[in-house]
Amino acid sequence: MTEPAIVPFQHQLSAHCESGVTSALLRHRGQPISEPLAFGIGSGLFFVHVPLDRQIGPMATSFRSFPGTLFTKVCKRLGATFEVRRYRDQERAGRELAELVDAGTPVGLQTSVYWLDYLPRRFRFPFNAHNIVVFGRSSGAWKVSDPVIDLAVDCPDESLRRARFASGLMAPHGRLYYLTARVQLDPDRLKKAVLEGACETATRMTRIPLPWFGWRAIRSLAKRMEGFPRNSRDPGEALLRLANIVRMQEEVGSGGAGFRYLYAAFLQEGAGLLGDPIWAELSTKLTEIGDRWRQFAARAARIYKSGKAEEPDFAEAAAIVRECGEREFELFTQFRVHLGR
Amino acid sequence: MPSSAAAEEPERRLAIRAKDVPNDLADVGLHRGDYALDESGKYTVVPTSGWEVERSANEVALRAIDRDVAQVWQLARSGHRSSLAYHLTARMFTVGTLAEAAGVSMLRVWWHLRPGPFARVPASVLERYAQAMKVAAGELRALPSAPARLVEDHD
Repeated sequence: MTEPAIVPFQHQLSAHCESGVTSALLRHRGQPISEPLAFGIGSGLFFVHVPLDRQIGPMATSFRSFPGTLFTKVCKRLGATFEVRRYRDQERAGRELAELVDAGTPVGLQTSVYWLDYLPRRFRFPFNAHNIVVFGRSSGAWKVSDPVIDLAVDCPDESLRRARFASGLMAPHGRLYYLTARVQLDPDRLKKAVLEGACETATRMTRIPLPWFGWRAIRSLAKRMEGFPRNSRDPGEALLRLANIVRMQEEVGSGGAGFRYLYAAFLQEGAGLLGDPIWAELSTKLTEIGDRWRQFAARAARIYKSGKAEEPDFAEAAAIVRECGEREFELFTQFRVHLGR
Repeated sequence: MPSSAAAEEPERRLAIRAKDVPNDLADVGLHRGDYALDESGKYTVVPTSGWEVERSANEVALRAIDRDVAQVWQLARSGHRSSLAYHLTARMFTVGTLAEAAGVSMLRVWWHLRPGPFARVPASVLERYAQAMKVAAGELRALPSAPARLVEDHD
């Protein structure tokens, strides 16, 4: 039942919660897949903007793929065996987590940051798709490795239970996931997985003929941003809508510039793995695009710190976003053609 | 770009080199990871406490919540809204999320946002609201003397 030797779980600082958790779980099972590699194989990079930001707030804009898909994609592409469970019964969810942890299996959990009281108060928004690893327990508390902070922490039982069963958009329903066996992997399989992940990202960034996904979403965001001062209730709301985009781009868990640096790191690692200089070239280009996103954030910050919502300022910020969109279109088209899609 | 060199200045440090990763919020204590290039041009994870731009974006959002909370507090004080409406907003719940967490229908939660119906709320339902928001049931019935604020406790 229990594994012969329980390997102590190693905490490691990452940039993004889901790719960090995936990387940590794989590493524990004998496959040192780095975080950027996990992020790329699981096609973590994306862009979504639905024109509902006044209704659903910051979640209307996303710089990444839908939460919860990354881990399963990585496992399938690497041929790792895994299990995902969801619960209705909170007692049972706690019991089964304890059983897994006692057997020495680190377990990934989907949680709401609102209830995780080891985080500073100001980060605790009702956001339901934060991923953490639980790797041990003591009386009344769980040992938690949260990939986006630099230390492993203790989390009280009640706090974790609430975090696992929070309500609202993307409610976790106690979702837990883990790898069921050691991962055997040959280099060819890894290369194939990297290519599969890359193909999906390149295709989704460029080929979805809808204005809410991929580079077209960046364009439509830019267009809508110009209208923020015009079509908000008051200047305060226009500034909030702008600040929310910056929050999605820079706040905890994006690795900087809305995951663009993280993906550039994947391209760099992929270049070494596949021995393909084009990937390295694309990595450099994506870093430059990331810098441009950061310049947008700095420009936007000057706007919302000034407290005034003037149309020319918003147009200037939107122009940077539009430029990012066009450059990403170019880059991912080149990437897609290079991958033969 | 149209802006002057001086205006571009604070943006220059964004060119990401591992040694330039912003660490503006030293007081936070916790660090997260950012990806940046090291001396040899290779990507590495660098611990960072965050960035002024990000802190101020957060502050805008927190102030917006504070404003909403203060508004509801006023309404509750003048008897247009129930104290439940205040506690719900102050804890960043919505009618939908509270209904789901407490197992009470949305229509009923909405109904209880009025002072009259909330005064007659059965103890069992009140207990479920309190459980869902992790407050004492007695506290839900009362309105604090001043609205809660989020921005003060981080500056």
